Order: sequence, then C-alpha cells, then structure tokens
Amino acid sequence: MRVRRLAIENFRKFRAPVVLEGFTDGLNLVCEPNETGKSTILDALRAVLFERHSAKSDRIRSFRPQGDEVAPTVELAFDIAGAPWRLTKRFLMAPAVTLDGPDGRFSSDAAEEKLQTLLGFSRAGKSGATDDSRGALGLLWVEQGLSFHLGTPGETARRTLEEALAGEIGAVTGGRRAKAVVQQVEKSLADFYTATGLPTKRLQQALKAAEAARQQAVDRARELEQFEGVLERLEQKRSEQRRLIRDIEDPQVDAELKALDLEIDRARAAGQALEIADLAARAAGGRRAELEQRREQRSRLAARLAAAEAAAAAAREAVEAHRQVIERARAGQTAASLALETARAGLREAEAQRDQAVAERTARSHRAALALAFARLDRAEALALAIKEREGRIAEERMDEAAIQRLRQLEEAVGTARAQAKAGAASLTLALEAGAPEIRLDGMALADGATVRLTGARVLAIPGVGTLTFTPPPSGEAALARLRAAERDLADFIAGTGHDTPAAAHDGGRSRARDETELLGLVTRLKAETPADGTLGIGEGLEPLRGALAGVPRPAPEAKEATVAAADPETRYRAARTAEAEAAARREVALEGLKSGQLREVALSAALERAEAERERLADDLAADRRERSDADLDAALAEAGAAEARARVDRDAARRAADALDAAALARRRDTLRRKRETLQSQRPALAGELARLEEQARTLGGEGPASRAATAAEEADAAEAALARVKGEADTLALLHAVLKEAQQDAARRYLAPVTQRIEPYVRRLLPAASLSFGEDFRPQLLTRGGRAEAAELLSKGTQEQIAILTRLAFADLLIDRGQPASLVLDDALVFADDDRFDTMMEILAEAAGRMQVLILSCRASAYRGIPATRLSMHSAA
Amino acid sequence: MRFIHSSDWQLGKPFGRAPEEARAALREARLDVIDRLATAARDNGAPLVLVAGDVFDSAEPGDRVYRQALSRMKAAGDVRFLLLPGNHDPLRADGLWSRLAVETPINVTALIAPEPMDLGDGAVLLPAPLTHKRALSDATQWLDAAETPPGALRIGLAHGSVQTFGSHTDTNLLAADRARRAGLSYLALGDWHGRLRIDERTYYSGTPEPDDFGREASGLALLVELEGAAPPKVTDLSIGRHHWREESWSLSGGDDVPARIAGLAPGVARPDLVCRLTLSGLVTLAERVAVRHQLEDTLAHEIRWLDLRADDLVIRPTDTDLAEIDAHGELRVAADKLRALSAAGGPQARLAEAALERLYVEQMRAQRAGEA
Repeated sequence: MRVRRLAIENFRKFRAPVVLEGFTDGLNLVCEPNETGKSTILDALRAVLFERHSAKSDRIRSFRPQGDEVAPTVELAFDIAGAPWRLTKRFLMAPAVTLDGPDGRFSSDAAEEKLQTLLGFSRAGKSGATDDSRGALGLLWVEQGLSFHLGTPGETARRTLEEALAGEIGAVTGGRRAKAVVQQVEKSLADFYTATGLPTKRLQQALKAAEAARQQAVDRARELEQFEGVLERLEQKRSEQRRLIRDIEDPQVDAELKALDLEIDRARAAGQALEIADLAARAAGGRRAELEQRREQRSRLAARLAAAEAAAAAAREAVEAHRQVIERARAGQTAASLALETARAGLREAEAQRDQAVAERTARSHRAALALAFARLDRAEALALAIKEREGRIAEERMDEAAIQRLRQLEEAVGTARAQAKAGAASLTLALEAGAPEIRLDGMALADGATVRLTGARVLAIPGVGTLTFTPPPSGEAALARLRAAERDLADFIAGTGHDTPAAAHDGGRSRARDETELLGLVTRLKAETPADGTLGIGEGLEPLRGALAGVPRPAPEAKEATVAAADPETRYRAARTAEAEAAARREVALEGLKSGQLREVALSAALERAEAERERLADDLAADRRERSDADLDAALAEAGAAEARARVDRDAARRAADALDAAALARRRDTLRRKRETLQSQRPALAGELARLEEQARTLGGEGPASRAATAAEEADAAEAALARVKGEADTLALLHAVLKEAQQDAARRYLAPVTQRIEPYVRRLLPAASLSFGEDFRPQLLTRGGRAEAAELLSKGTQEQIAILTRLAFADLLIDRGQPASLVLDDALVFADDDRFDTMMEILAEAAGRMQVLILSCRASAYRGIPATRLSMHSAA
Repeated sequence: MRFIHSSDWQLGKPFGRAPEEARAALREARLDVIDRLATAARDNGAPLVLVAGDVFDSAEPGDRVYRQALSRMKAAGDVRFLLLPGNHDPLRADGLWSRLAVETPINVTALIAPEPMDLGDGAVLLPAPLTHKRALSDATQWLDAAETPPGALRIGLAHGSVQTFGSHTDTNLLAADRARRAGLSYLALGDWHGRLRIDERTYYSGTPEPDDFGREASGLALLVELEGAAPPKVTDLSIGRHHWREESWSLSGGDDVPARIAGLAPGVARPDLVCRLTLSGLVTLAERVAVRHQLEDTLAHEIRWLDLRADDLVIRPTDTDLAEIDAHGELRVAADKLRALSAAGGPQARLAEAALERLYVEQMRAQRAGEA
C-alpha cells in the first residue's frame, strides 16, 4: 500500500482544507515543529480508513475543531498492488463515504466493507476502532509515544499475520481443538492452582479439609484421652477412698488406741505410787534422824553431867583447901596484934628515956641535931625517890580497893545468881546449944556452926523432934536472866580493868595493895626522917628540911664518946618506934590477908554452889529423859526406824522403776499421733467424695458424647481426607504436568511457525545488536533476546532497545505481509527518540533499505536528526 | 433348649473411610441387625439371643448409639437379649455399661459379672465378660469350677481368640478346649467376624452384619439347639444385609468388562454390595479410559460402595491412542512427550501416565464438543 495524497478539512486544528501530497514509494519524511498538526496527519489517516463514517463516538466528535459544529472530512488517495484508490469520508454532519477504485465506486456500508476486505481490518465497534479492529496496518502505523510498545498484536492483526504464516501454522499447531484442549486443561488446573502455582479452590479445599480432619482427629483423640484420664482418675480415687475408709476403720489402730489408753492409766497410777513411796521413805528417814538426834543429845547431856560432877568435886576441894589458909591468916593476925602491943610498950619506955637524955644533950645536941638533920635529908631524899616509884605503879594499876571490892561483888553476884538459878539458894546454918542432940541432914551428921546450902529437897532429922523437909522453890527464867546479867556485868567490868581474867585482876589488886602497903611504909619512913626539928627550928616534912638545911654547912662529926653516950636513948627510942611501926604494918598486912582470904572463901563457896547446881540440873535432865525413854528403848526404836527407812527406800525404788518403765508422756504422744492421723484421714473424706462426684459427673457427661466412637470416626475421616487430598493432589499434579507439557509443545510450535518472522528480523537485530537473536511467543510478541548465550526477557530491556526491537518487529511483519502480497506500509510518529546516535543511524539505514520494498512515512519534529536522511520531504499546504 | 448365638454387632462403627454417602447406610444396617435377629429368634422359636461380646464398636460409643440399640431391643419385647462386654466394649467402672445399666429394658440383660445365671429349662449361662481391651488372662478360667445344679446344661459365653497369631503376646486368649474342660454343653464365642466351628461344642457365630472385606462366612447368626448330653445342633441363619466382596481383575485388552460387571456378586442386590475392586494388567489408553468409565460412571453408582483400585492397571499407549489424540500438532507433541516420560519410569512416570490419560479424555471431550 502506498499513500499518495491526503486532504483534510474541519479536522482538529485544520479547519480550512489542507493537503499533503507528493508521497513517493520509498522513504517520506514530514518534518515539522511541534504544534503544527503532524500527529493529526496520522490521526486523519487512521480515521479515514478504520473509523466508520456513521460513527458518533466521542473519538469522532473529538475530530471536530474546538467548538465548531462542522463535519470533519478526510480524503485519501492510495495505491494497492499498483491500482489507484480514492477514499473520502465525512463524519458527523451528513456523514458519507465514497471509495473509488479499479472496481468502480462504493459508498456507505458497501464502501466500508470493501475497505475492510481490501486492507484486512475489522469493523470498528461502537466506541470506535481499536488495536484489535485495525488489523495489520494499525500495527504498522505507530502512533506517537507507542513506538516502543512490545505488546501482543491485536486480534485482527494476529489473524492477518497467522494467515500470512498459514502454511507453517497448519503444520505445527493442533488448530482449534488443541486450543480448546489447552483451554480446558488450563481451566481445570485453575481449580487447583493459581497462575503463580499456589493451591486454590479444590486443592485448597482438600488441603483445608485434610488439615481440619487431622486437627479434628487430634482433638478427638485428646478428648478420648481426657475421658480415659477421667475414668482412670475415677478408679484411682475410688481405690483411694477404699484405702482411706480402710485406714480410718483400721481395727489395729483401734486396738492400739485402746491399749494405749490402758497403758497411760497404768503409767499415771505408777507415778502416783512413786510419789507416795517417796513421801513414806522421807518420813521414815526423818523419824530415824529424829531418834538419832535424841540419842546424841542424850550422850551430850551425860558428858556434860560428868563434867559438872568433876567441876563440883574440884570446887569442893578448893573450898576445903582454902579453909586452912584462912585459919593461918587468922592466927597470924592475932600474933601481929600482940607484937604491936609489945612494940608500943617498948616505944613508950624508949620515949621516956629519950626525953630525959634530951635535956642533957641539948647544947651539943644542936650540932648533933644538924648533923642528924643532914643525915636525915639524905635518907629522906632516897625515900622520896622510892615513894615516887611506888606512886607511879599505883597510879597505873586500876585495881584499887574499890575495884577489888567491886570485882568481888560481881563474882559473888554471879555465884549467887548461878546458885539461885540452879535451885534457889536457901542455906541452913546451925547454932547449937550445948548438949544439943546430933542433927542429921539426909543422914549425915551436921557439926555445930555448919552452913548447908539447900539445893534440893533435904531432910533434916532432929532426934527427939522429927524431920524437917526443905523444898527449894523452883528455879526460873528470872534467875537465869539474872545469872546472865551478872556474868555480863562481870565480863564488862573485867574488860574495864585492863586485865584479861578475874584472876589477873585479883593479882593486879594484890600487887597494888602491896605497893600501897610499902608506900605507906616509905611515907611513914620519910615522915620519920623529916620530923619537925625543934632544936633547929625546922618544920616537919622534907621541904622544910631541905629549906632549913639549904646554905647551912654540914657540921663536923663530934667525939665518939659523947656521941655514944648521947646516942643511946635516942637509938633505943628510934628502934622502938621502928619496931612499933613495923609491928603496926605487919598487923595491917595480916588483917588484909585475912580479909582477902575471907573473900576468896566466899568466892569458892559460890563456885561450889554453882557447880553443884549445874550437876544437879544436868542429872535431873538426864534422869527425866531416861524416864521418858530408856536407853534400850531408844536403841530399839532407832534400829526399828532404820529398818523402816530401808524398807521405804526399797519400796520407793521399786515404784520408781515401775514409773520409769511406763513413760506416760511418750504413750500420750503416741496416742495423740494416732488420733491426729485418724482425724487427718477423716478430714480427707469429704474432699475425696466431692472429687469422686465431680469425676463421676464428668465421666457421665463426656462418656455420653461417645468419645471413643468420635475419636475412631475422626481418625478414619482424617485418613479419608488424607486419601482424598492425595487424589486431588494427584489430579492437580497430573493437570500441572499436562499443562506444562502442553505449554512446552505450544512454544515449540510457535518457534516453528514464527520462523519466517524470526528469520526476517534476525539480520536487522544483528546489525543493531551484534550476535543477538530474538525469539517470539506464540502470540507474536518478542519474548527473549539472546546475547552471548544469555537470554533476557524483552520487557526488561532498556526503553531505547525495546523501541528499536518493536520497530524492527513491525518491519519484519510488514515484510512478511508484503511477501504474502498483503498491503503494508510503515508509519512512525516521533519514533526513535530514545536511540543513541549510532543506533539511530543504523535504524535509519535499515528503514532506508526497507523503503525499497515498502512505503515508509516518518513524522518528526526533529529536523536536525533527519537532515542527512535521503527522503522525500513533504509538507502540509493549503488546498487552495 | 434353643437359642440364637450372635456376636460382634459392633454398633456405632464409623466407617470413616467409606464415602460419605455410604457411611450412614452401613451404620444403619448394623442397627437393623437387632430387628432381624429378633425376627429370626421368633421364627425359630428361640426367643433368647446370646451376644458374645463387642455389642458396641467402642468402649464409649455415645449415648445415642446405645439408646437406639436399646430401643430396638425393647421393641422386640418377646425376645430376651443377653449382652456380653467384649474387647471393643470392655466392662469398666463408670463406662458404657454402667450408664447403660440404668436404661436396659426388662428383656435385656448386660452380663457384667462372671457368675452363673439361670436361663430356665435347666440351663445355666456362664458368662465371661472382658474388663479390658487387652486381657492377658483367660476370662473363661472360672468356668471350669463354676457350680451349677446337677444335670444342668452349662452354656459358656465368651469373647476372645482361641489361637495365637504372630510373634507378639496375644491378648484375650481363650483355651481352645474350654468347653471340654468346663463340661459345657455349648460355648458361644465372639471376636472373629467369620463364623467358625472350633469343635462340636464351641462356635464363633461371626458378625451378623459384615463390616469389612476378606471375611469368610459372615452375616450369620447361629441357631443352637441343646438336648441333654447330645452334641448341640447348630444351624446357620442368614442375617446380614451387606455383602463385602473383594475382587481382583487382571485386564489385558479385549476383555468383556460389561459382562464381568454383570457377573459380579450374583444374587446380591446391587445396593447391598460393597466391593473392593483391584484392577491390574496392561491396557491401551482407550481401554483404560473405557474401563474406568464403565466402573466409575455405572457400577460405582449402582452398588453401596465401590472401592476401586486401578493403580495397577498400567497403560501402554498405542500409536492408535496417540493418533486419536492428534496426528500431529501441539497435542501430539505433548502426548509423545508424556508417553516418553511414562516409559522412562521414575516418580514422574505414573504422573505422566495419568496426564496422558487426562489428555486423551480432554481431547475426546473437545472433539465431542466440536462435533456437537
């Protein structure tokens, strides 16, 4: 097909009629700037051929220039196989079509149909022509912006191509039946798998059903297990309950409890028995101890009595001994008194002689007197010294007369008190008339003047008169108190004397008395040495002597005879005086001795009395004690008490052993443990019963649903579902395999019947992409570009390459159609915009070569790109 | 003394592997056995049915199943049913039998204790109920020493196997000579689903309604007549409805399949037939398709359940088969490829064979559509 002339009126921007003419057979180029209506040329070409004149679709309306109610009109002149055709179409207003050709003129629908047959396209639908309806020319006349599109050719175009390839196709495809089979297989497969190979519909259902059945089987099995578990637990709990009841009612435990109660009672009784035995043992021990103590007391009493008897004997002896002393003292005193009388008589005689001699010697005697005075002074001084010594001693010794007196009083009081304390102290003194009968006291004859102290009941027998019985008053507490007071007074006093004992005090007293006696002698002598000296006019005493003689020269001694003669009466006198003084002192001392002897006698008597009283008392006590219980009785009682104690101890030990053998606390513990255990068991019963009821109810409920049946059913159904799934899966896999094999066969076939296209395009592709080859799908779509053994999906190539391949594919289709005598031409609107310079040039070369076989129309706005292209350049011009 | 000996009712058996449409009928048929046994009992003047175990298919078949069974037995009030727990429905505390006990009608007794039971007519029943699915001891042991009135007919009722199978320890084993040892007039056994005579006084009745393939002589109950010391007179009574047949056909082409189908299980009503048909042999594609059509589209619909196993019916596609697919073109190319794949063996071979069969079927379908 070759376009010769195109006239347009009222079409898009061409309101006024314009014409494009001067088309040559080869390469034609319309090179105009943008917005000049270049693309409108292709639109007009497609409209006049493929749109029905009577159509009123939006697309047709869009042909009208903006806002004009006009009739778009296109007129086209073209050649087909050398024959000229002329086509005029008027749209919308008085639409019309006329086709003039070698066979004459056609108009209206006839014209449209003629055109369809002539150019191999289909009648356009309501909304206008489509890729499907336009056929091969539509495929070859590429609109702006669609040149790189690698789509499947439209239905009509494909049919045209298939017809062109008819020889090959018939040989390799199965025709419509094969298509139907493949479609059916695809449809069936779609019941199992999605296009992307995921399970769907039946397969998915089967999978789900199998999974659900499996899950159901698992659930049912678990239910059954649960039910079996309930039954098992029920059985367990039943046994537990039986065991529990058996344990609670265990007769052994009953018996043990009963036995324990008895044991505990026995243990308690044994404990009490032990206490009683213990008390008895202690009582027996106390009794024995009491008796022992008593025996001991008794022996102590006897010992004391023996001692008291010894003391009384000693006291008696002392009294006896002292009596002789007294006798001697009395005799001595009498002798001393006589000697004093004699001395005093001698003194008086000597005095008379001395007085006589005095007168004679007065003159000479003065001197002598002085000499004597000096002699006296000397002696007096010595005496004064001795006096001083005695006085010092006396001052130190507190046992003076009064103190001794006091001591004696106190000792006496003690003795008295002691005697009184013992038995009262009645004393009997006999003073008998001459010729009085012999008086006996308790059978013992009493001498006249004897004094007897009555310390017990005494019988005094007086012959011819009868008996007198003395009963002393009972000694009492008051007497004892007095005794103790007297003893304390004595002790206190002794402590105050500076002596340790009464004896020492007595010694001290005696020594002081001696000193006083001697002092008296010395003072007397001093006094005697310092008499008043009438001769010399010296006063009496040492001091006047000292004063008188102070400053007086000592006279020389006188002639002997004179002295002797003169000295004799004086000497005698002085000797008599001395003797008298000595005798007086001696008598004094004898009086003193007698006096103290008498005191001692009293003391000894008192002591004797006291000892006697003590002895009596102890003897009474012991006798009284023995009266109450004899020694033999006491010993027997003690032996008896010892035996009783031993028996009580044996009893107690036996009781202890018995009590020890029965530990009441341990028994009670054991019993309590048993009781608690039983209570614990009892307390478990209600819970167990509840658990049993619960499990029974559960067993009833669960069992009612038939868990075993359900489990078996579910298991079988799971197996069945699994088998069904296997069958479905088998069918699906079968279909998948069949589908794959069929697809493969189809592709093999396509490769074979598309060989003419492949062969045609191969040289072009090789020029553009060295060593590359292109393969097509059975739908005529370029599929894979293989370069260097590597295949690339066509739709993943670069935009530029895709466009170039799309143009080359169209070129190959056009070549195929021309070879088969079909009308074909190529129109490219603003194509190859993505091509680099080299590829552009190559494409141009290929197109130029193709232009030798077909008419090629290139519409472009890029004047410079096409400047060097050898082509017929056309331009729009007004029809006028 | 006359009674019916039956066993292995296995009520509530699910038949889960059977197709949906067959399951309900197969289940219902097991319940129908009760009615038929009652009728047979009446007809033979033996209104006492001893069921030797496995009355129910499982230890817990559900209340619905046992209630339906009880209501059927109750309806046959003039017949006494004595039911023994078997290994499928063992006796256990709080299980099926405990629940069922409170609902049993007066003409039904569950034999839940191993103790003598006076049957009247001078007969004493010695039942040996099972308490476990797998009992290791012989439940009939006690029968030897069981005391019965002198001269009484001692009838044993037990469930288990009298013979060991396999190497592992068998359970529920019974002494084969128990009848002799225990001085039984008759020992009614259950467990084996086929009728079997062990000795002149020991019988397995088999299940009254067959429930699986490969059972011999099933679908029966035994009419037992005892007269003094004489051996029992045992008569087979046909009770079952369904016939389970297992068939194997070896095809080699040129077989008259319709005739074979017609000759299948003669005398058995088609709806009462359950058939497992195993096909084997080497056939053409056309033949295989034709056989499957005949079996799946006709026989399968006529009988209760056709369990068709055609995996061993191997296709050897002929050139004619392939020519029928297409002389040339895509389908032929595909068919050739599939034939090559199936001939190559391996896991794909079976699939390729199926695909080829499918292609053949689809091609024929398309042809018919095209012709129509």
